[in-house]
Amino acid sequence: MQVCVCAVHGRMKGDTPVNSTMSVGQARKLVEQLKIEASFCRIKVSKAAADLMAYCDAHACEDPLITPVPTSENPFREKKFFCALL
Amino acid sequence: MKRKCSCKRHIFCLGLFCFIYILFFKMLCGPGERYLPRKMAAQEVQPSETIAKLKLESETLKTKLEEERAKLHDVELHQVAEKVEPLGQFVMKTRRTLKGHGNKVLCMDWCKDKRRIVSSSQDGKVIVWDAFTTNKEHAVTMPCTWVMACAYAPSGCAVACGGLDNKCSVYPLSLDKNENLAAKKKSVAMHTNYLSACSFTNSDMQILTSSGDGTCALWDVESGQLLQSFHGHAADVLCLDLAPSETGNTFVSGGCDKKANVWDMRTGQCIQSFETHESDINSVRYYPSGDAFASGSDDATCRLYDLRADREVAIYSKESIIFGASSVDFSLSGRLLFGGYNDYTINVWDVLKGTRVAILFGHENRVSTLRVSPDGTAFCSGSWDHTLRVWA
Repeated sequence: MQVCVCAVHGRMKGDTPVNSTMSVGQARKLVEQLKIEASFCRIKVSKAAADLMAYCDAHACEDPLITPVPTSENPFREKKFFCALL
Repeated sequence: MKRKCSCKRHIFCLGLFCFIYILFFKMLCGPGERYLPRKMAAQEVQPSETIAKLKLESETLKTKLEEERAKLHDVELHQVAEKVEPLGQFVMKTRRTLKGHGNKVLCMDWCKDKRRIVSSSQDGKVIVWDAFTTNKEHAVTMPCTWVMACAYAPSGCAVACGGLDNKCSVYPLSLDKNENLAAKKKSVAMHTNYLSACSFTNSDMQILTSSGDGTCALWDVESGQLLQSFHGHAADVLCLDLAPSETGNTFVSGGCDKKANVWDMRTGQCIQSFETHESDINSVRYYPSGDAFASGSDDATCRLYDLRADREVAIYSKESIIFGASSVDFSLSGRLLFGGYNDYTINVWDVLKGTRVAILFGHENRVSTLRVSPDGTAFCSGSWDHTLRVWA
């Protein structure tokens, strides 16, 4: 998609402001933004990974693509065509 | 005689000059200040000193940020996931093919009724399909080509779309097939460049948009008023996804600046930023729990970022995959990640183990868009081959 869109109208790719052309205002905003991000409360990857796994596990039975449901319950897999009432 | 006259003129000019200079001096000085020349000189030096100081500060903060993130990187996700049961044999086939677009399909979205689909294409057409029967229920012709974004309203009563017209328009869907949908069109969003993505929030009343102008914005549908704008990307924003409703008012956006930003919808503030991709981020999608999100990029990888650990926790890539990923979505439990690629295939990844579970063939051109149905029984992919396919 990007190639064609690029051809249709100029894109800003590669226009990331290089430090030397940054204005004072932009530099200040960047510093403020970084301060906010630096103060973020992080947890360990092991804890985060465990939580992701726990979520998958808890919802695996509800996921029709993990725990296959009978063909009759999946409207797309049913052999017979759906009849629309006109 | 001449000399006398020129002397007088000289003195007069000098006097006038002094008078003007004193006036000027007094005006700038204000009451009490006398050392103006020194102060002005000091002010001229300050801006460049400030930039250098700020640059140094931002570099220091960036290093500190990386250190903090690295401290908590005690293990890899796939290592923790070694004890998880491997997935069984994975079989998915094309169950429906939706034909009717005259050109590349660029975007699609499911209705909450798990049955209807809206899709938009390069030829300016937006079509609403019944995916069970493959019938077309509505069709609208937009005044522009390249309709890059479309979304279904939560109520199922309207669709939003936009693209090269720089706008996002909402069309209420009528039960009357003969009614001209274009007549009821409502222009909601206005950007200064193309609309790349749009999504309704929890209700039909607000729309979130992202644009080639580098910003995202939240709009009120009824009045068309801009409620909040989000500035921070350094290049075109290509995609966005709203957090699952239980986890609060945030959304994630990805752009051509290789960054994925997480935003607070109420304040407009960027709360977290991730920059590990090596090229444009084409698609972002939240993990069903809202604690993580996946991204697909032109660098041929998909990545998983955990929001609480504030870092990338997995990369889904293979040496044999060299084409960009255009679109990603999770299965209902979050265990599977579907990625549509520019090499016409769809790769299915085991999110926890980081391995590829299946590769799906069928499309005859780039896969441009992919969404899992609301009940997770199927997913739909749209392609540059003018068709949409429903896989189950």
